[in-house]
Amino acid sequence: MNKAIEIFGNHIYRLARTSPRKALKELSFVYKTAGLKCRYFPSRSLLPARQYMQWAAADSAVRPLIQPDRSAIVSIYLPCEVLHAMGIYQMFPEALACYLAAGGSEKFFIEKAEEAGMPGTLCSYHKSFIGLAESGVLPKPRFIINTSLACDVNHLSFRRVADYYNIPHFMIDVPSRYSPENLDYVKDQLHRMVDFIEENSDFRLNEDKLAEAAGRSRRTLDNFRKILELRKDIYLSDEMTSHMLSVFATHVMLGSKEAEKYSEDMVQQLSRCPRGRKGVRLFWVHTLPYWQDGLRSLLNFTDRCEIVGCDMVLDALDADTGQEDPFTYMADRLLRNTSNGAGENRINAVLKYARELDADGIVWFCHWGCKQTAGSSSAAKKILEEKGFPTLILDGDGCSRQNANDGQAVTRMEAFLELLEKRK
Amino acid sequence: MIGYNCKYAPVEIMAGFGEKYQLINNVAENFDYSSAILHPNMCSHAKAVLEDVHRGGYRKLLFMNCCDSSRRVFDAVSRDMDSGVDFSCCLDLPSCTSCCAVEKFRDDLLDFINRYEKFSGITFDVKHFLSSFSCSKKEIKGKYVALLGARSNKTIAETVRKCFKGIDVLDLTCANNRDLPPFEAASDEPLDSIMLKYSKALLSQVPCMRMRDIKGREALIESKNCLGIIYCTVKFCDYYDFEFSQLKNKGIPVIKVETDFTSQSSGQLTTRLEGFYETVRQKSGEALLKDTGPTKGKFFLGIDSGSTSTELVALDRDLNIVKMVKVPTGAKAAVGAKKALEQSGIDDGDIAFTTATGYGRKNIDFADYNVTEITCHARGAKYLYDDVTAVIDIGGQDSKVISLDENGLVSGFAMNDKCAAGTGRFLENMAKILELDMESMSEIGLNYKKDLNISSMCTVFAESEVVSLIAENNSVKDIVHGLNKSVALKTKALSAGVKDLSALMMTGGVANNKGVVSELEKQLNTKIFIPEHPEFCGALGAALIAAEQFNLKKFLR
Repeated sequence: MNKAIEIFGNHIYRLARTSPRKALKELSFVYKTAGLKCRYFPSRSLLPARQYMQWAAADSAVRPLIQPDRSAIVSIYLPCEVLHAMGIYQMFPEALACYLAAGGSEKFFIEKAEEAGMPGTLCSYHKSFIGLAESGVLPKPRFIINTSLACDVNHLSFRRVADYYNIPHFMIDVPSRYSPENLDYVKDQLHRMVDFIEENSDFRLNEDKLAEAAGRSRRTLDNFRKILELRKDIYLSDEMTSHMLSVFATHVMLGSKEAEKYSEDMVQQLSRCPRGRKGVRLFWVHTLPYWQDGLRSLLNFTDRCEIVGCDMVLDALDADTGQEDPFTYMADRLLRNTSNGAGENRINAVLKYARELDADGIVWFCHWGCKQTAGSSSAAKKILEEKGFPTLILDGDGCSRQNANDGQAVTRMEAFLELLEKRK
Repeated sequence: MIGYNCKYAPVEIMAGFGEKYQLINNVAENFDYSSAILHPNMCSHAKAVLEDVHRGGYRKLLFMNCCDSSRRVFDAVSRDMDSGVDFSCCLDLPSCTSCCAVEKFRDDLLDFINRYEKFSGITFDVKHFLSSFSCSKKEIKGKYVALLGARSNKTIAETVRKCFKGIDVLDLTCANNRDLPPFEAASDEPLDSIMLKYSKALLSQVPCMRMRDIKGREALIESKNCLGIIYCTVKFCDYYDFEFSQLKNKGIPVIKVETDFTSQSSGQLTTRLEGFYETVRQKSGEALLKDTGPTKGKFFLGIDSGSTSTELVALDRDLNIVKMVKVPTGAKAAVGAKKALEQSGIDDGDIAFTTATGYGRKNIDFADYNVTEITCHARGAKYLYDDVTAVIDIGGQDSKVISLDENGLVSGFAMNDKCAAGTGRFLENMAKILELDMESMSEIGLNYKKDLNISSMCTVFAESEVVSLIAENNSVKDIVHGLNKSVALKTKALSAGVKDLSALMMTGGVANNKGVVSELEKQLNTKIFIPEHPEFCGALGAALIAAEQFNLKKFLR
């Protein structure tokens, strides 16, 4: 770990225990400063669009921390067009935990959650989130809205935190299959979500603003389809963090002006990149441990290999962006998400995108505690390798150093790269 | 036979087709098949289900999409060509009882009937369906202990019944808590109207932790007749720890039993449940008097038969310690105990009463009485340190944190599960890797320079982490400090439920390890009292209980 990050992490460890409000201020200041640095003093090693997104993501993470009374806690799959239209900021576990891990500060909050009885085997994103709330660092938002999509812990951590803060909680139940009846079922719940927000706050939905947000959302997804097409024969010197930021752009930030601008800039800047490829092309499944030193040195800014895509960024691309009614479009997107339902849905999507991106191999990253991803890993390896894509099952953690063994991860990743290099 | 996985599964529909059904809940002999199919970090129950289905016991499967693991197991059984399953269906479980959810579930039930009719060629019989409802819930009138939480299994249920003989045991765990009373419907009523009622009845059961509104679960423990709760969790099932973390403050005795869904190491399970039995009995005001043996002689003996060593303590009639002996246990507990007695030089005729404790306590034939080491450590600790409020006991194969009330009685305890991380055995294994003896291991970490973290939860993983740290040229001092810290953190997690750590004492062999003690003091932010011979505390407690039993017997006579 970088010495400055280590010192900051240790500082937050002590501060959060004694002065949670002060810890929040310092965390917000650091995130904001890091974002502003990317915007006004960009590094030359990254595309300008990536740096813009670093600022935009940091800004959208800090805003709810500063103005919690106009914020909601949401789950990563919640269609947030309604919230963007109403001017409600969003906090979500994955972003909160990612920023903590980037600053080496996750340890105290994970310990706090475990001390409160959370199992060691629970997803670290949600443990960080629970620890942040129950330590008094995360300010109390107006309400919590989450979906049941993809992950068990959706049923648990949001309810717990809503009880802890004593704030209203709404949950959208997402069936595992697409059908016209299920579409109506989800659509009805999205309408009731609007009623819930209006009943519990002064925020009111303006249909025109929702239509604008839905329009931005559709255009963003269309841009990501173009990015996919462009990326097929372009080499890009990049870092793992970029893919995590794209996950935010196609999920909670989808429908925002910033996410649309990011996707537009990416299309333009990629179009200007020279055609050609260098090194091994990896397709990544699930979240990325972008803070893990050993993997960073192996995968970031190197000619040896590049991550050409990540399935979490692309999981909503099957949505029908032609749907005019915003509620139908959002419900459709939830049901058609490639992480919804049977494991084969996701495996087939990975196969499709690996082919479209002309990947050499696939890394199936089993984030600690994620039964959805780990549960499909063996079948994925078998199916993907039968179709000609060597697949590495890599165990680790997207946001906690506690569950990551850097030495082992590097050995496995390096051996996988050697294997792919020999095949070329 | 149709196998189902969840209490919300509409099994009565299968009765409407004349089919028999059974909950898939067997423990696994091994995970040979599932370990090749599922990632090691998947819920153990899910792996056991996969093993069971693969063995070929079920021709048809009816699953509810009730958790991530169930969903992935259903994926896996659908791909398993050798299981003999010719029909499988996985239904979505709505997470609430709103009108929309009930109607959606009704539609799924009707669709399921349709599918099964097409598959089997059998017509759904409403009369059979309606007559299959039976009030299966056992009426309990007296005191009972409740099994709560995630999946329990046959081994746990049987051990509980054995330890709580004479007390009713109510199994309210996840799938065993199915309660669907018959509902009013005419057999000529339209099917969708019947299915609407059925959908509502299924979803209105006492909610599991997946449901949005779980207030109905409070009824499970509200009864005054509930003496205590045995809370079952399964490794890598995270649902129920959320409830368990909030149960600890309800004032009812509760113990957590985590299973990996294999035949549990029954010795440890029995010790824990008997310890819990003693706590429950004490709390409900019943003395621990059992049928005792002869009452003569001048010494009270306590024998602690542990996994590594056997300790004996002899007290005279005035409760002064007159002998302390420690011998290796060896392969048989009885032989170790006999050897300790021989070494003590005490004649059989001089023994007034003997109490045995520790893992081997039931195999010591000359003992008059046996009691768990949890009660014994508490009793011994109170004798050595009158103000004691809590005891940390770390022995060879387990670690415990025991809370004491003002009278020195056990008011609660937590104990590690099968995993050896955080125990003496863990430190011994690490000492071997680092080529240290236990004495050096105790001191060397005190002078560390770099604050290393050994974060792996599992002994096996920690071992490879230590090997990596050695490869990175970290000093042995720093690694040992990291190990001490990991034991301390594990113990800190165990002591999370202890209300009063103000007068903390440590017993068991690991109390002699200065590095671990120092780290524990740091982590718990309190001074720890270490008796002169911490490893004898359990045997001392047993000897004190021997005296108590002897006097009670005399009094009753």
